[in-house]
Amino acid sequence: MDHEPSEASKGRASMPLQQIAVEDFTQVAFEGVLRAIEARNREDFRLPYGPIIYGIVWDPDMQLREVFGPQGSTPGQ
Amino acid sequence: MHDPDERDALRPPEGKAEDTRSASDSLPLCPSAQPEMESSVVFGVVGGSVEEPRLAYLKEPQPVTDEILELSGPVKPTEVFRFAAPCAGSGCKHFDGADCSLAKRTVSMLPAAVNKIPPCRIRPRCRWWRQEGVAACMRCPVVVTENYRSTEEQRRVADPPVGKGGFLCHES
Repeated sequence: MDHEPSEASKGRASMPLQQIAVEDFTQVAFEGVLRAIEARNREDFRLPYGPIIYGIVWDPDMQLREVFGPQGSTPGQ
Repeated sequence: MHDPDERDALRPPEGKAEDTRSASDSLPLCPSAQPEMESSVVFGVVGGSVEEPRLAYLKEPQPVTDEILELSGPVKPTEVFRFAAPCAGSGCKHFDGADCSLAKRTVSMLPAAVNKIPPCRIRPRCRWWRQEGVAACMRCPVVVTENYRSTEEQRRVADPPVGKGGFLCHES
């Protein structure tokens, strides 16, 4: 399902998409760090939630199953 | 006329073109991975502003090195860079056994953020693109992997499905 861009995102759409060369990487990264610091330091920073992880979230149960087997038993038990 | 990136993006996700590549080369890549994952690469830098983050895409994705990670200085690399790494599948809370539920929710719950397909070099192997097509690409530029300034909408989308861990939040 596709959405019509909201008013806010229409504003974003006017911002050019940037492609960066390897030689410009350090400078762009520095600017990215400044943006991230500003994001952390804004007064309306959403405590107490803190940041979200928008991406891979390890499944601890899965990791335990990989280590201990499906019944949670340790190998050799 | 489309540029090569657009042609890639417009090809249906089913049209996999990796037949001549090795198996590891054709594994889908998670486009919001962590730097410590094996074979992780940096493919973008979060630019724009605090209110309107906008990913700048690298012409050539770079393997993760200590030097690159050190560039993020006092903040976490995932606040500054976007990493791609082979999809962890069932090791990730967003994987529902067949698909990435995060990609599904991103496309179904968030509005398109751009009206032009981003110049992304990982697209042919991107799980989100393979699964959701261009609709995922149109939302990708505003994704920040570790985000202190998320909207409520983004927060809901980022939340792993119920039964796989519930709402994720950190102490700052």
